[in-house]
Amino acid sequence: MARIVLDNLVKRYGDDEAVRGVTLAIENGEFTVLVGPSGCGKTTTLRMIAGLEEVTSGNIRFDNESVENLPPKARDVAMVFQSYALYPHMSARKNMAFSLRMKGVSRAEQERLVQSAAELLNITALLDRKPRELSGGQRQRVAMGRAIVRNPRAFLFDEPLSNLDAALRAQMRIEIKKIHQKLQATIVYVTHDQVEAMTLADKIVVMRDGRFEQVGDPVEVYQHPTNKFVAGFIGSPRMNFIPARLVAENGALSAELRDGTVLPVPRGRWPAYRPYADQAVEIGLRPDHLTDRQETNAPSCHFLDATIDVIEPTGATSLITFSIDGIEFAAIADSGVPRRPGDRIRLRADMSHMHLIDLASEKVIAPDCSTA
Amino acid sequence: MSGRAASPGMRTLAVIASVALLLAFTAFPFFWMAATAFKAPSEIFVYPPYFFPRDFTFENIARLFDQTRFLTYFRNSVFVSSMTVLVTLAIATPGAYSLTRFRFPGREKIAAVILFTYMFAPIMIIIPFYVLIRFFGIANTHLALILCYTAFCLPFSLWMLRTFFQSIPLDLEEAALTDGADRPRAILYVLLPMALPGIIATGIFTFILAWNDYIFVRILITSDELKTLSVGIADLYNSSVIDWGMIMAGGMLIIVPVVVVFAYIQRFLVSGWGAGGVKG
Repeated sequence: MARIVLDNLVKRYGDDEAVRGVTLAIENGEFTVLVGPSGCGKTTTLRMIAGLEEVTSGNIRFDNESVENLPPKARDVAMVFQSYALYPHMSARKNMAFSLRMKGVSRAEQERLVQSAAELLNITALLDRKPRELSGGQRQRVAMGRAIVRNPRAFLFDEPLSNLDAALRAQMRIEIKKIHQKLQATIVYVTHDQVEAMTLADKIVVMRDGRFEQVGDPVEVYQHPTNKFVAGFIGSPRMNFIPARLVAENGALSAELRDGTVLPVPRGRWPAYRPYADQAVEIGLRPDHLTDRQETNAPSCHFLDATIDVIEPTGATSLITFSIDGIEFAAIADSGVPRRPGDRIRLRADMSHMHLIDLASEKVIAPDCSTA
Repeated sequence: MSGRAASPGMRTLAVIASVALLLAFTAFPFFWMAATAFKAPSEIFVYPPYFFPRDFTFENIARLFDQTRFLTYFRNSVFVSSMTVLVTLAIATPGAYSLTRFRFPGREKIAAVILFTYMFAPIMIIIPFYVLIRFFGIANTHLALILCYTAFCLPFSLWMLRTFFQSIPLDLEEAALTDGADRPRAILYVLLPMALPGIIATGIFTFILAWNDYIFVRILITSDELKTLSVGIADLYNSSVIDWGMIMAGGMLIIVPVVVVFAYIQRFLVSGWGAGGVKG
């Protein structure tokens, strides 16, 4: 397996810049997920790594060897496509053996490797079927088998689960993770689904408009997003962005919402946030930290009264949508309490998890490390 | 019929009746040709006519082989048509591939202009063709016919194959490339097997066009031993006594190869392979 380095990688189509000088090191055996909305350049980046797209400028290195000018064949990477891209005229077995055949591996060895990959993926019984005789999930497995069988330097996944239904997607996520743990393979995985990104990645790369917005481990990116885009993109349900004014009174900071509600800012954050005193800002607060649940009763919690617009039960909890001063918010409420749209609800805003966003730069202002 | 109230049985009956009527209309000339080919000369002009030969005979066919150069014409037709298919496919397949898979300026315009050239009727371009053929000194050769047919079939073949290649997802070729194949092998192992129905359909189209052509042979070929079936058979009309039995026998034998080829190859045209490789 290889360590992959992208160095100031640029891809232009005419005047359009799809990838704008991205730099990244993917360690040997690391599971890296590129995540972002459609058109952000994540698939283009992946295709440049695979050699399916020419690099306009910049460098791609596999273990210090420059590969950006090599054809896909010479890069020895395996790719799993969103469409599965199984060869329709070949059986699953022949699909999986295709790369070995291209390499000139003996028939006996081809059969052995295909069998062993098929066992890993539980598709031994399907090997003689043509792709059209397989279900979506089975095709996905064969496509993965085709990648695994050849022991490549890296695996590239291009939104491999987006054509599967929700249940199958969750199952395949687990399987992909298991395979990664077993093979310790270098994986670059592209998805627009932030849940997939969070659950699979060792390293998550959030992309927008051809740039990397943030790179880090999933928990770090979730807890400490560096800007409003990442804060909004990572995490489901989406973070609430609350327009407010940071008010300094007797040395204490608090956020005053448009409707006059005042939410005190935790003391530990005052030094970092003080430059924004008396300025319009945005407060970022995830729905998980805006809740009626009893366990959230820390001293940093403050009450917010609201009228429910929409309730979406999700099981143990429900997603509550309400609006204050024309802006919609999402909160998590206990499903055990019977509620209806129009009911009043008292929510606790856990301000120890708040994010302060500079309106001009849309950057999240980092709180001091010592604070919550 | 009572429209909405028609039972499924009635509807099936109506469909069958319509199909039978249509079939009778299109197949009757062929039937008449075959029936006449097996009639004795004395039966051909009998009034009222017989639908089926009363005195079934192979005499017309025998005379066709004895008294005309039918076999020579037949050989010429097979040779010219087959070579046209080979040359057309050899040019159209890579041409259509490049029109679908490579990005270059004016690609779509080129494709549109190619189709535009097909809109000229053969009669409009036969004179320029003849001038060119004379210029190259290949008038009255099969090569001239093959080149003319190829030139005439290429635009449509390119267009047809291009549509076929477009329907084959790029992902499949890219999968082959990342699977360690170079482009020629990706084409050979992945693209061509999938495009086979399209290539065969294009081949049939070209074959039939070359097989049925009359005007190019009439203009470009003067030697009797180089003529193809269409002109060879038509020349039977020129004799002082028109031998309808022999002409019908010739007509029947002309369509036999086309029917056989088509019957054998039509299964490829039902593109069953395409489904299932990629989602969507």
